[in-house]
Amino acid sequence: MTQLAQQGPGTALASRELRATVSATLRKRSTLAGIGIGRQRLILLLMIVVLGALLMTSLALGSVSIPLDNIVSALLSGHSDQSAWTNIVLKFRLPKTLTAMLAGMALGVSGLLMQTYFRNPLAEPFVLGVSSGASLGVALVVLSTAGGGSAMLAGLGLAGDLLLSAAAGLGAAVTMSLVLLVALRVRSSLTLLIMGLMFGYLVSAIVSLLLYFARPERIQAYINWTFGSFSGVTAAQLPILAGIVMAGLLMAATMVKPLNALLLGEDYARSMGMNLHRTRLGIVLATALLVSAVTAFCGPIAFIGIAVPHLCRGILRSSNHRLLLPATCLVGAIVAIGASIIAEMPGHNLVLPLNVITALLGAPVVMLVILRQFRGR
Amino acid sequence: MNDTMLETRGLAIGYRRARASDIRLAQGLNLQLQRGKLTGLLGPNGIGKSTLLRTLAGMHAPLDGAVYLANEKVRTLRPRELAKRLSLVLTDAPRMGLMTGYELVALGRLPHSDWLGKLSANDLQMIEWALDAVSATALAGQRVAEVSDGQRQKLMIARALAQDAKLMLLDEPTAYLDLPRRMDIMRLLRQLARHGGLAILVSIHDLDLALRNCDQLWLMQNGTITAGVPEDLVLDGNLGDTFKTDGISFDDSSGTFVIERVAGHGVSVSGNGARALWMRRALERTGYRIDKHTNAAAIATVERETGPEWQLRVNGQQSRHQNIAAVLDSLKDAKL
Repeated sequence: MTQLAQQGPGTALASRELRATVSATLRKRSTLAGIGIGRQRLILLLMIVVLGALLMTSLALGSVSIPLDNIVSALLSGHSDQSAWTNIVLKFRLPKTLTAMLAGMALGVSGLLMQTYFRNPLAEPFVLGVSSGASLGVALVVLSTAGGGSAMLAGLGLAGDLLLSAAAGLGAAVTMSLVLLVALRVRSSLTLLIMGLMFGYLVSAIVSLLLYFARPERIQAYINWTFGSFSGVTAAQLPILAGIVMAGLLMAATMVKPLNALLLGEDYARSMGMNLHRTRLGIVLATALLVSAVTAFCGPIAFIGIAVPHLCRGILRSSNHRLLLPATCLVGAIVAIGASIIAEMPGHNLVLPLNVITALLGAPVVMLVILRQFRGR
Repeated sequence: MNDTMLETRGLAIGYRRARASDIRLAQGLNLQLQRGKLTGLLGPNGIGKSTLLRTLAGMHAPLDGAVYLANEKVRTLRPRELAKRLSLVLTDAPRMGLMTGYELVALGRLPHSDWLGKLSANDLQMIEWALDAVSATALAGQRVAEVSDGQRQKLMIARALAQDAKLMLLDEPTAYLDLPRRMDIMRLLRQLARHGGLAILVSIHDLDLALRNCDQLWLMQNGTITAGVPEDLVLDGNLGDTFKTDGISFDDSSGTFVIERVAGHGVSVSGNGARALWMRRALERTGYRIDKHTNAAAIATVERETGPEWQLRVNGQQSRHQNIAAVLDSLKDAKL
């Protein structure tokens, strides 16, 4: 030890036998590490395959049965044996499937950002209060529009959807600005967490008040929105959702290093050269972008954001964000598309609320993963 | 070559308050940390040791004056640049979930790696070196959550080493450790300072360990810090003053704290060696005064140096006992 230290950091090891023992240990370890990384790469690859299969399944299933080769040709060339089939695939199933994929990615990644930043396994994308803001926007539109608007909303026509999205987006944007303002001022992540939670309570209270005085059919329209749906996004709106989600994901990708540093807490992260202020803003902004886009277009999709990061950690057995970030993207998309397929109950005409499926089927899976991960501790 | 790695000029530390006067913990500090030296920061609880460390590390704004790293103010350095010069180890190790020892130490390379945190060959070499320097290579593959407190603290130090900063600040790194582990960590820090050319500042509660390992001590008391070589600080009484509390005083001749007791009944212990020493300790602990004179109220005699028996004479009455417990009982019954 003394001989080693004498040469100072970064220099070759001193005595021959020491060098031999160390390199022997290292060989052993690096092969171990190699296996680990190989295994983790394999898992990521597997996730891509599963995602691809689910994408195709989602496009293939629906109330109208369309042969698989026609679906492929509709996707690739824009033509199929029947123009109705082409329409169904390109105008309905494709936007719905892509929306589910984007929403799943966004929620998975924003959940990971929140859990790492707040160092809290219970944190989820909605803790910043952004989705509460969105729900307030929607509640204001649905519950308080004049009589003329209600028929439009009740029918959930295209214009109604767009109005809802706009209201949710506006609510989310206002909340986001507030959260960013707070994030600029507070010293600790805990303060931000409590502010976000309190803001959520405040907004829920206002929404409850609106619900209390609203007419029953309006309440039904609002509740329908809270169930969540991937079907409301049209092919024309899709690029907006995709653009915002991609921007948020790119921002998250640039923060792999600070996120890893944050695993040791803010003090250590700063001592390892991280710009706390910039990182906090980056994390909050990326999360707010991802969450507000998804909530505006799909409603408040619960569960995916809190569960997917845990699933990924459990599957990969790692807390390294270089692995977790792509993994939460993939698994988020898988879970969202899977839930959307199940919600439509293939073979039945019934469509179940999305939020029911995500929690009902997802919660037991996550319980299993977490119990296994901590071996009952 | 200038050996000073960190310098404070007219530094005052404490907290600013919005609608009240500042809380000043210490002021007028002109201190230096030198390359190759292990400096121990000592002071009673709540005197501001952690605040001083945080101020030195640039995480807390000084009330006055400034901290300089090679003539640059620590607060004006960019975080990444600062991280290349100064590393930190804190008391509490955070929960680290699934992280392995290797991954933890690899985090130390963050200030040196690219935006994705990809490790170069040089980074890998540094990580191996740091793990080896704290003799923790065997822990590389283990999950940090599953190693002992002492091992985890070693990994945290290895992480700080991997950061390749010439200055390391540690805030009570041995707080939760048992004595052998504490000795181990302090010896490690001493060797890193002496042979690795680092300037290390460690706040520590264990006075004996500090006296035995540190090249320099900073004694924090009454809003100021006295710096010096440990032995000088003992001899000129500074060390005793710093920790003075009612009923406890620093004994210069033994280098330990002794509990001042209200003088009880005198007992004389005759005999030498370990048995006599521990009998004196037992008597002191139970409130008797060790009397050097043979006309004390009671006299305990070591019969044989290695023999099993104690001879006790109280008021002229002799009795024999098998162990110290029996002697103490007999003394209690005698009602001196």
